[in-house]
Amino acid sequence: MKTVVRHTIKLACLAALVACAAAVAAAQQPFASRLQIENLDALAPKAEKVVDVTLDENLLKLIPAIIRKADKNPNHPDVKRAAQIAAGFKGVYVRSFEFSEGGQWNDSDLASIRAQLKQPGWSRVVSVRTKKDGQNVEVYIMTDPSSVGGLAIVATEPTQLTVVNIVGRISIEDFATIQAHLPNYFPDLGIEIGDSGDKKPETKREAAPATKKP
Amino acid sequence: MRRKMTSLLLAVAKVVSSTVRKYSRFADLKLAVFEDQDFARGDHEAFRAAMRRLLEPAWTPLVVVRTRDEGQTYTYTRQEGADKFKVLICVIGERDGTVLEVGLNEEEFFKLLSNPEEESKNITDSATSQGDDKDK
Repeated sequence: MKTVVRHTIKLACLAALVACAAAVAAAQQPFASRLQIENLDALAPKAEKVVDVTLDENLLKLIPAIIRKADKNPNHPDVKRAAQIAAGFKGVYVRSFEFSEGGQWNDSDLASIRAQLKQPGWSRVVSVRTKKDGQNVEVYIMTDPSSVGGLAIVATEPTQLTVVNIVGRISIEDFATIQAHLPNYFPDLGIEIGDSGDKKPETKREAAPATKKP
Repeated sequence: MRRKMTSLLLAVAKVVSSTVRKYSRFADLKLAVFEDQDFARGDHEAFRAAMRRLLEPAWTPLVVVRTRDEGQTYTYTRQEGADKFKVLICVIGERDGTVLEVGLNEEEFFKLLSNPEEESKNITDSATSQGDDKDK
Protein backbone atom coordinates (compact mmCIF):
# COMPACT_ATOMS: atom_id res chain seq x y z
CA MET A 1 0.00 0.00 0.00
CA LYS A 2 2.83 2.31 0.99
CA THR A 3 4.53 1.62 -2.34
CA VAL A 4 1.39 2.56 -4.27
CA VAL A 5 1.10 5.86 -2.38
CA ARG A 6 4.78 6.60 -2.94
CA HIS A 7 4.45 5.90 -6.68
CA THR A 8 1.32 8.05 -6.90
CA ILE A 9 3.13 10.96 -5.22
CA LYS A 10 6.10 10.51 -7.55
CA LEU A 11 3.82 10.51 -10.60
CA ALA A 12 1.99 13.59 -9.36
CA CYS A 13 5.31 15.38 -8.85
CA LEU A 14 6.45 14.38 -12.33
CA ALA A 15 3.18 15.60 -13.87
CA ALA A 16 3.52 18.93 -12.04
CA LEU A 17 7.10 19.25 -13.28
CA VAL A 18 6.08 18.57 -16.88
CA ALA A 19 3.23 21.10 -16.59
CA CYS A 20 5.64 23.71 -15.23
CA ALA A 21 8.15 23.05 -17.99
CA ALA A 22 5.41 23.34 -20.62
CA ALA A 23 4.22 26.63 -19.12
CA VAL A 24 7.77 28.03 -19.12
CA ALA A 25 8.31 26.89 -22.70
CA ALA A 26 5.03 28.51 -23.77
CA ALA A 27 5.98 31.73 -22.03
CA GLN A 28 9.35 31.78 -23.80
CA GLN A 29 7.84 31.10 -27.23
CA PRO A 30 8.06 34.28 -29.28
CA PHE A 31 4.75 35.69 -30.45
CA ALA A 32 3.92 34.85 -34.06
CA SER A 33 3.15 38.51 -34.72
CA ARG A 34 6.58 39.67 -33.50
CA LEU A 35 8.60 40.47 -36.59
CA GLN A 36 12.34 40.08 -36.84
CA ILE A 37 13.37 43.55 -37.99
CA GLU A 38 17.01 43.49 -36.89
CA ASN A 39 18.21 42.90 -40.45
CA LEU A 40 17.29 46.53 -41.15
CA ASP A 41 20.27 47.54 -39.01
CA ALA A 42 22.42 47.02 -42.09
CA LEU A 43 20.94 50.29 -43.39
CA ALA A 44 22.09 52.26 -40.36
CA PRO A 45 25.52 53.32 -41.71
CA LYS A 46 23.85 54.87 -44.77
CA ALA A 47 21.15 56.67 -42.80
CA GLU A 48 21.21 60.24 -41.59
CA LYS A 49 19.11 59.27 -38.60
CA VAL A 50 17.92 55.97 -37.14
CA VAL A 51 15.33 55.70 -34.38
CA ASP A 52 14.68 52.37 -32.74
CA VAL A 53 11.91 52.24 -30.16
CA THR A 54 11.10 49.22 -28.01
CA LEU A 55 8.21 48.99 -25.60
CA ASP A 56 8.15 45.65 -23.85
CA GLU A 57 5.28 44.25 -21.79
CA ASN A 58 6.51 45.87 -18.55
CA LEU A 59 6.70 49.37 -20.03
CA LEU A 60 3.43 48.87 -21.86
CA LYS A 61 1.66 48.39 -18.55
CA LEU A 62 2.31 52.10 -17.91
CA ILE A 63 1.07 53.36 -21.26
CA PRO A 64 -2.68 53.39 -20.42
CA ALA A 65 -1.96 55.64 -17.42
CA ILE A 66 0.18 57.90 -19.61
CA ILE A 67 -2.61 58.21 -22.18
CA ARG A 68 -5.09 59.14 -19.45
CA LYS A 69 -2.71 61.62 -17.82
CA ALA A 70 -1.74 63.30 -21.06
CA ASP A 71 -5.30 64.16 -21.95
CA LYS A 72 -7.22 67.07 -20.45
CA ASN A 73 -10.33 64.93 -20.47
CA PRO A 74 -9.30 61.48 -19.24
CA ASN A 75 -12.92 60.34 -19.10
CA HIS A 76 -13.54 60.98 -22.77
CA PRO A 77 -14.60 57.73 -24.47
CA ASP A 78 -11.82 58.15 -27.03
CA VAL A 79 -9.19 58.37 -24.29
CA LYS A 80 -10.67 55.39 -22.48
CA ARG A 81 -10.68 53.43 -25.71
CA ALA A 82 -7.04 54.32 -26.46
CA ALA A 83 -6.01 53.24 -22.94
CA GLN A 84 -7.97 50.02 -23.34
CA ILE A 85 -6.30 49.25 -26.68
CA ALA A 86 -2.81 49.92 -25.27
CA ALA A 87 -3.55 47.68 -22.29
CA GLY A 88 -3.83 44.75 -24.70
CA PHE A 89 -0.38 45.25 -26.23
CA LYS A 90 2.42 42.78 -25.58
CA GLY A 91 5.12 44.65 -27.43
CA VAL A 92 5.68 47.67 -29.64
CA TYR A 93 8.69 47.92 -31.95
CA VAL A 94 9.36 50.85 -34.26
CA ARG A 95 12.37 51.31 -36.47
CA SER A 96 12.69 54.34 -38.71
CA PHE A 97 15.45 55.54 -41.00
CA GLU A 98 15.96 58.92 -42.60
CA PHE A 99 18.33 59.28 -45.51
CA SER A 100 19.89 62.43 -46.90
CA GLU A 101 19.13 61.36 -50.47
CA GLY A 102 17.16 58.75 -52.38
CA GLY A 103 18.58 55.43 -53.54
CA GLN A 104 20.07 54.51 -50.17
CA TRP A 105 17.68 51.63 -49.63
CA ASN A 106 15.90 49.27 -51.98
CA ASP A 107 13.20 46.62 -51.87
CA SER A 108 15.68 43.85 -51.12
CA ASP A 109 16.27 45.47 -47.71
CA LEU A 110 12.62 44.77 -46.92
CA ALA A 111 12.57 41.27 -48.41
CA SER A 112 12.99 39.52 -45.08
CA ILE A 113 10.15 41.52 -43.49
CA ARG A 114 7.85 40.99 -46.45
CA ALA A 115 8.61 37.25 -46.32
CA GLN A 116 7.52 37.17 -42.68
CA LEU A 117 4.36 39.07 -43.58
CA LYS A 118 3.55 36.43 -46.20
CA GLN A 119 3.29 33.82 -43.47
CA PRO A 120 -0.18 32.43 -42.70
CA GLY A 121 -2.14 34.63 -40.32
CA TRP A 122 -1.00 37.97 -41.71
CA SER A 123 -3.42 39.88 -43.94
CA ARG A 124 -2.60 43.03 -45.84
CA VAL A 125 -5.46 45.41 -45.13
CA VAL A 126 -4.10 48.64 -46.59
CA SER A 127 -1.74 49.34 -49.43
CA VAL A 128 -1.26 52.86 -50.71
CA ARG A 129 1.17 54.02 -53.36
CA THR A 130 1.59 57.71 -54.11
CA LYS A 131 3.23 58.17 -57.49
CA LYS A 132 4.08 61.83 -57.01
CA ASP A 133 6.03 61.51 -53.75
CA GLY A 134 6.98 57.89 -54.10
CA GLN A 135 5.26 57.10 -50.82
CA ASN A 136 4.21 53.57 -50.06
CA VAL A 137 2.27 52.46 -47.01
CA GLU A 138 1.30 48.88 -46.28
CA VAL A 139 -0.61 47.80 -43.21
CA TYR A 140 -0.88 44.18 -42.19
CA ILE A 141 -3.00 42.66 -39.43
CA MET A 142 -2.47 39.29 -37.76
CA THR A 143 -5.83 37.63 -38.12
CA ASP A 144 -5.00 34.21 -36.71
CA PRO A 145 -7.51 33.83 -33.83
CA SER A 146 -5.14 31.52 -31.95
CA SER A 147 -2.44 34.22 -31.82
CA VAL A 148 -2.29 37.26 -29.55
CA GLY A 149 -2.87 39.41 -32.63
CA GLY A 150 -0.67 42.04 -34.12
CA LEU A 151 -0.16 44.78 -36.65
CA ALA A 152 2.68 45.66 -38.97
CA ILE A 153 3.24 48.80 -40.99
CA VAL A 154 5.82 49.23 -43.68
CA ALA A 155 5.95 52.88 -44.73
CA THR A 156 8.49 54.02 -47.25
CA GLU A 157 9.47 57.16 -49.10
CA PRO A 158 12.58 57.67 -51.22
CA THR A 159 14.40 59.12 -48.21
CA GLN A 160 12.50 57.45 -45.39
CA LEU A 161 11.72 53.97 -44.22
CA THR A 162 9.63 53.08 -41.18
CA VAL A 163 8.57 49.70 -39.86
CA VAL A 164 6.08 49.48 -37.00
CA ASN A 165 5.27 46.20 -35.31
CA ILE A 166 2.67 45.93 -32.57
CA VAL A 167 2.15 42.61 -30.81
CA GLY A 168 -1.34 42.43 -29.36
CA ARG A 169 -4.96 42.58 -30.37
CA ILE A 170 -5.44 45.63 -32.61
CA SER A 171 -7.45 46.67 -35.66
CA ILE A 172 -6.67 49.39 -38.19
CA GLU A 173 -9.27 51.64 -36.50
CA ASP A 174 -7.57 50.99 -33.16
CA PHE A 175 -4.26 52.02 -34.69
CA ALA A 176 -5.67 55.39 -35.72
CA THR A 177 -7.00 55.89 -32.18
CA ILE A 178 -3.73 54.94 -30.53
CA GLN A 179 -1.68 56.97 -33.01
CA ALA A 180 -3.59 60.10 -32.06
CA HIS A 181 -2.70 59.54 -28.40
CA LEU A 182 0.88 58.37 -28.86
CA PRO A 183 2.08 60.45 -31.81
CA ASN A 184 5.71 60.17 -30.75
CA TYR A 185 5.69 56.43 -31.28
CA PHE A 186 3.70 55.96 -34.43
CA PRO A 187 3.87 57.80 -37.74
CA ASP A 188 0.71 59.48 -38.97
CA LEU A 189 -0.13 57.36 -41.98
CA GLY A 190 -2.99 59.60 -43.00
CA ILE A 191 -5.27 56.61 -43.34
CA GLU A 192 -8.93 57.53 -43.38
CA ILE A 193 -10.80 55.07 -41.21
CA GLY A 194 -13.67 53.25 -42.83
CA ASP A 195 -12.06 53.66 -46.22
CA SER A 196 -9.57 50.84 -46.27
CA GLY A 197 -6.82 51.35 -48.80
CA ASP A 198 -7.34 55.09 -49.10
CA LYS A 199 -5.26 58.01 -47.94
CA LYS A 200 -6.31 61.55 -47.23
CA PRO A 201 -8.14 63.07 -50.20
CA GLU A 202 -5.52 65.71 -50.95
CA THR A 203 -2.97 62.99 -51.76
CA LYS A 204 -2.87 61.78 -55.34
CA ARG A 205 -2.65 58.08 -55.10
CA GLU A 206 -2.84 54.75 -56.70
CA ALA A 207 -4.38 52.39 -54.20
CA ALA A 208 -3.64 48.74 -54.60
CA PRO A 209 -6.48 46.43 -53.65
CA ALA A 210 -6.18 45.00 -50.18
CA THR A 211 -5.33 41.33 -50.21
CA LYS A 212 -6.24 38.81 -47.59
CA LYS A 213 -4.55 35.56 -46.90
CA PRO A 214 -6.01 32.80 -44.77
CA MET B 1 29.02 91.02 14.40
CA ARG B 2 30.82 87.78 13.49
CA ARG B 3 27.97 85.66 14.91
CA LYS B 4 25.42 87.67 12.92
CA MET B 5 27.45 87.17 9.74
CA THR B 6 27.68 83.40 10.34
CA SER B 7 23.95 83.02 10.90
CA LEU B 8 23.27 85.12 7.81
CA LEU B 9 25.56 82.89 5.72
CA LEU B 10 23.92 79.77 7.15
CA ALA B 11 20.51 81.16 6.25
CA VAL B 12 21.68 81.85 2.69
CA ALA B 13 23.16 78.32 2.46
CA LYS B 14 19.84 76.86 3.62
CA VAL B 15 17.92 78.79 0.97
CA VAL B 16 20.37 77.73 -1.74
CA SER B 17 20.28 74.05 -0.75
CA SER B 18 16.49 74.00 -0.62
CA THR B 19 16.36 75.68 -4.02
CA VAL B 20 18.75 73.10 -5.47
CA ARG B 21 16.64 70.30 -4.01
CA LYS B 22 13.48 71.92 -5.36
CA TYR B 23 14.81 72.27 -8.88
CA SER B 24 16.71 68.99 -9.04
CA ARG B 25 14.67 66.69 -11.28
CA PHE B 26 16.37 63.51 -10.23
CA ALA B 27 16.30 61.41 -7.10
CA ASP B 28 19.92 60.43 -7.65
CA LEU B 29 22.39 60.89 -10.39
CA LYS B 30 25.49 59.03 -11.50
CA LEU B 31 27.39 60.64 -14.32
CA ALA B 32 30.52 59.66 -16.21
CA VAL B 33 31.95 61.82 -18.97
CA PHE B 34 34.64 60.60 -21.36
CA GLU B 35 36.34 63.46 -23.15
CA ASP B 36 38.80 63.67 -26.03
CA GLN B 37 38.16 60.17 -27.31
CA ASP B 38 37.87 58.97 -30.87
CA PHE B 39 34.51 57.27 -31.04
CA ALA B 40 34.03 58.11 -34.72
CA ARG B 41 36.09 55.12 -35.81
CA GLY B 42 34.30 52.72 -33.47
CA ASP B 43 32.12 49.85 -34.59
CA HIS B 44 28.64 51.02 -33.66
CA GLU B 45 27.01 47.65 -34.19
CA ALA B 46 29.56 45.95 -31.95
CA PHE B 47 28.99 48.62 -29.32
CA ARG B 48 25.25 48.13 -29.49
CA ALA B 49 25.65 44.36 -29.21
CA ALA B 50 27.88 44.87 -26.16
CA MET B 51 25.26 47.17 -24.59
CA ARG B 52 22.62 44.51 -25.15
CA ARG B 53 24.79 41.78 -23.74
CA LEU B 54 25.71 43.75 -20.63
CA LEU B 55 22.41 45.43 -19.82
CA GLU B 56 19.59 43.16 -20.92
CA PRO B 57 17.41 41.74 -19.44
CA ALA B 58 17.98 43.66 -16.17
CA TRP B 59 17.56 46.89 -18.14
CA THR B 60 14.90 47.31 -20.79
CA PRO B 61 15.79 49.16 -23.99
CA LEU B 62 13.45 52.08 -24.70
CA VAL B 63 14.95 54.05 -27.52
CA VAL B 64 18.13 54.15 -29.56
CA VAL B 65 18.72 57.19 -31.75
CA ARG B 66 21.66 57.35 -34.11
CA THR B 67 22.30 60.49 -36.12
CA ARG B 68 25.24 61.38 -38.27
CA ASP B 69 25.72 64.78 -36.62
CA GLU B 70 24.75 64.18 -33.01
CA GLY B 71 26.04 60.66 -32.47
CA GLN B 72 24.22 57.85 -30.72
CA THR B 73 21.90 57.89 -27.75
CA TYR B 74 20.89 54.69 -25.97
CA THR B 75 18.13 54.90 -23.38
CA TYR B 76 17.45 51.96 -21.08
CA THR B 77 14.99 51.80 -18.19
CA ARG B 78 14.42 49.71 -15.07
CA GLN B 79 11.59 49.75 -12.54
CA GLU B 80 12.92 50.04 -8.98
CA GLY B 81 9.67 50.01 -7.04
CA ALA B 82 6.00 50.81 -7.36
CA ASP B 83 6.63 54.37 -8.56
CA LYS B 84 10.40 54.61 -8.85
CA PHE B 85 12.34 54.13 -12.03
CA LYS B 86 15.95 54.13 -13.09
CA VAL B 87 17.02 55.41 -16.47
CA LEU B 88 20.38 54.77 -18.06
CA ILE B 89 21.33 57.05 -20.94
CA CYS B 90 24.49 56.61 -22.93
CA VAL B 91 25.38 59.34 -25.42
CA ILE B 92 28.31 58.76 -27.76
CA GLY B 93 29.55 61.63 -29.87
CA GLU B 94 32.58 61.70 -32.16
CA ARG B 95 34.94 63.00 -29.50
CA ASP B 96 33.18 62.37 -26.21
CA GLY B 97 30.80 60.10 -24.42
CA THR B 98 28.42 60.50 -21.50
CA VAL B 99 26.89 57.77 -19.40
CA LEU B 100 24.34 58.71 -16.82
CA GLU B 101 22.04 56.85 -14.50
CA VAL B 102 19.20 58.75 -12.89
CA GLY B 103 16.33 57.91 -10.62
CA LEU B 104 13.00 59.25 -11.82
CA ASN B 105 9.68 59.52 -10.06
CA GLU B 106 6.55 58.37 -11.82
CA GLU B 107 5.73 61.77 -13.25
CA GLU B 108 9.18 62.24 -14.77
CA PHE B 109 9.20 58.69 -16.07
CA PHE B 110 5.79 59.16 -17.70
CA LYS B 111 7.21 62.23 -19.41
CA LEU B 112 10.07 60.12 -20.75
CA LEU B 113 7.71 57.43 -21.97
CA SER B 114 5.47 59.98 -23.69
CA ASN B 115 8.31 61.28 -25.80
CA PRO B 116 11.38 59.05 -25.39
CA GLU B 117 13.61 60.69 -27.99
CA GLU B 118 13.10 64.27 -26.87
CA GLU B 119 13.00 63.53 -23.15
CA SER B 120 16.21 61.47 -23.28
CA LYS B 121 17.89 64.61 -24.63
CA ASN B 122 16.27 66.79 -21.97
CA ILE B 123 17.32 64.45 -19.16
CA THR B 124 20.88 64.32 -20.47
CA ASP B 125 21.07 68.11 -20.79
CA SER B 126 19.54 68.59 -17.37
CA ALA B 127 21.76 65.97 -15.72
CA THR B 128 24.99 67.14 -17.30
CA SER B 129 24.33 70.75 -16.36
CA GLN B 130 23.50 69.55 -12.83
CA GLY B 131 26.79 67.67 -12.86
CA ASP B 132 28.59 70.83 -14.00
CA ASP B 133 26.96 72.80 -11.18
CA LYS B 134 28.17 70.23 -8.68
CA ASP B 135 31.72 70.54 -10.01
CA LYS B 136 31.74 74.33 -9.53
